[in-house]
Amino acid sequence: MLYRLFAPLVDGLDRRLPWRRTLNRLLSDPVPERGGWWYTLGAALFVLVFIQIATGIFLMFFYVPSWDHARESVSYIQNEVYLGWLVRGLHYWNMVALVLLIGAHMARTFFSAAYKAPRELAWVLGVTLLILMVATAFTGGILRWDQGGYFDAVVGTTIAGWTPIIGPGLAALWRGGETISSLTLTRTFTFHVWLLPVGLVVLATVHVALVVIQGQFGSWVNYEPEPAEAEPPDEDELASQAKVRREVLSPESRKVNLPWRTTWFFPHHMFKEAVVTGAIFLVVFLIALTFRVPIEEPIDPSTTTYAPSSMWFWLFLDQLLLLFPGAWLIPFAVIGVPTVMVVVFYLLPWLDRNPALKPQSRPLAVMFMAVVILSILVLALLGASRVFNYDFVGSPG
Amino acid sequence: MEPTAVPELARRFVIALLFLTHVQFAAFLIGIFTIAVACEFFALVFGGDNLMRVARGLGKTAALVYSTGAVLAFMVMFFATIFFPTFWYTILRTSFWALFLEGITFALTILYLLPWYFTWEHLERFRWVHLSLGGALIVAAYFQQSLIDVVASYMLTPAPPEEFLRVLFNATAIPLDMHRIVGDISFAGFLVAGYAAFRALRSREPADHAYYDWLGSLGLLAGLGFLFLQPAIGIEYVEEIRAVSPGAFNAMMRTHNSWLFLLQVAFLSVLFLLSMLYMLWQLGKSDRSGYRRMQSLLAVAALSAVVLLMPRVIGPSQEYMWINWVNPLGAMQPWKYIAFAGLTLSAIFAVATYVGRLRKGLRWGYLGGRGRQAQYLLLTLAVFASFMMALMGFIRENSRVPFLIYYQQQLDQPEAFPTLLPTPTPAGPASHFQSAPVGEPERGLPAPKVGDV
Repeated sequence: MLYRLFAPLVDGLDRRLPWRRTLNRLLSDPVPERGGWWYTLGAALFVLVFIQIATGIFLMFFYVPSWDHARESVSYIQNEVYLGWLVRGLHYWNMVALVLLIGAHMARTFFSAAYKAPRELAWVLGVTLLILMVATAFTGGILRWDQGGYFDAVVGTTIAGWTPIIGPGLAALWRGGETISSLTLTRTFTFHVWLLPVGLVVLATVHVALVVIQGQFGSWVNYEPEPAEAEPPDEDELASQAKVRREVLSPESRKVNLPWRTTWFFPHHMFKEAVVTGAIFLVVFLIALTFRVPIEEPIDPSTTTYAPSSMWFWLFLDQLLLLFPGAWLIPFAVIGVPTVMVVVFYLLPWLDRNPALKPQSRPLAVMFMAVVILSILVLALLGASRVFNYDFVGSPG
Repeated sequence: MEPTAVPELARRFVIALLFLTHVQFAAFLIGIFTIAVACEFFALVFGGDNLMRVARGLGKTAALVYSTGAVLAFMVMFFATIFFPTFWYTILRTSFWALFLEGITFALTILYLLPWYFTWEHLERFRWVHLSLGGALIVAAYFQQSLIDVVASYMLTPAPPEEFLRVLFNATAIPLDMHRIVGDISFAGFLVAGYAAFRALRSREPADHAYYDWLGSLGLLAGLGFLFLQPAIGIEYVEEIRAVSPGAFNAMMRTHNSWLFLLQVAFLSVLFLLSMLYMLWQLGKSDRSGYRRMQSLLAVAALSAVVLLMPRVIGPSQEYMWINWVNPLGAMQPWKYIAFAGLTLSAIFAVATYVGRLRKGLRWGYLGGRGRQAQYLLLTLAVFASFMMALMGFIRENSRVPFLIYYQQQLDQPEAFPTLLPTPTPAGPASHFQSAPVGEPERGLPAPKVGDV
């Protein structure tokens, strides 16, 4: 009945834009069957980005990006606006989930060697998205415009000023002058609500398009030999295999290294993605319900008692400072290590020339990433412990 | 004679002996759990009978040794109670919940360990279930260690005792815990390597030669692989001690105990160097290019070790390196950082070279000439790893002398058992008992401030 009502519209649209064929093409995309749960994080990220945008739009209705009113407007959202505390909590904890998930997604991509040719561009975009995500989270923290937000702005703009060659200009552009002022807040606001999200959405869309064009890569999990007594494939699987064969063997195909055992994107894989995304959102929602996001005291730049601490995702870099003595701090710990990390991550597809895909066949790359991940986790945990003991310990070192 | 009347030196000796022995067992066990479960995981994922055999063998060892470690722990508690009652009373008061949870995790560890070991055959068709039991065992064991680390770290960097979370996450609790977990795996790896070498030398079957030769390499890779992380975590740990308990830091790194720390660094260097020498000799059998690369790396590591062991700075310091620190024993002046980096990085590249060679295949079981000497190297490494574990604990425990609990309770403070006297009240004899120790000040000395010492 409903279809008959809208049929002329739907069919007319289809005659002008072949959306049915496109949708069918997308939904019947072959994806790895074995280990398919590992491939759900990308979709979860995509959904969470849109939740972040939706909650952000809600917060923008009430937020005032001015020196005098920013903190008060946050306080108003938190304490006066109906369910404001919940939306703010969702916005905050969703950001935490996004940063963690993008890290996990990149780790999965790395260990399954999905960054190798021809998927280099998707990897490079992924690294860029990670940077944008962290930048968005960082600028969002500043917008609270309380003591923590203010000192984040001080530290952020100072570090930006240490960038070789363009540093001073970059810092001045961000601050809107030599010192932190109301202009810093409005510019940070612009970065946070316009430039960075637009970049995120555009690049994420291109990233997803690349994944669709090049195919979900079958990791080493998918290439395990089938046991002798494996059940014969069912009709769906056979159809999917036939499609994969056509897709991979076609001269126009850009899909390589797809596993033999695949399944349809819809409904099989989409179901897994929905489960994972739903579970993650549920966790975020429960955390937002349970833990209120705090607001610190109003800005007092002349304070001598406030101990600023870095945002949680910087803790590992913050803790790294302890490993570098005296004047080595800025060139090595603040600029050197992060820059090298970013450059290595960007160039990874070209630095790793080993054509092997299975982790056991590329021990150097796996060891490298294991050490990087382990170091980040260890340093972050140590940093959290130090921040927790700040008022007792005092300034470290 | 009251136990507290035993001469202090004797009391300290008993506790130190029992404690250090217990730590060796505990560290070995936690390391063994981790390696065994990891071997089972890799055997399931990648296949490999040898890996499963290692997992099974280590599981059996763990099940047999666990009770010894537990008995030693109870002995430590028993003797600490009778020799240092005031101290024990204070620790029970301040760390009650940590110790309570410690007891629970102890029970959990046993509850997972025994089924994990005894269901090895029964769960043959459900290996992932069995592996999950192993995973739960590791989690329980790590938590058990973390909770006892709360007490150990509290003694060095105390927090306000009335704040449970501050006690639980005191300034060095997490750094110490990480240092110990990584150290446990490394220690167990070296011990496995030593055991494998012993069996390789003793066995007469070529198949056993090959297996134990391979196992020696596996143990060494686990030992050295986790040793990489230790210098960095150690520096972080020491920095926390410096911030919170500067007197302990000075004792350990700059003044009277700093020679012990240099000895510790010497052991560390020996572990790195002998491990690399082992890999060099193993490669020498079949890989000339890898052998030459390993020689260069060994030279870099040896040079780094020399710099690391220097009691005074060498080379340009202040004006060239912009560092304002003078360099007494143990101070981490730039050259020592560079030496640490040199030692660690050369060992990382050595492992990469060795693993790369292993992928192409190495002839296992050759025990003539260098092959035999390599086994002796593994035995030596196991001994040094054991020394190092003991010395590390000794340094940490002695850095807070003359305090038992840093700036809260002194070592030479009179020890007395808590008295159980009825508390007189206007309403008559109380129905509860007072348990404050005789002669103990309520909170000991005032809390330290940064820069006090």
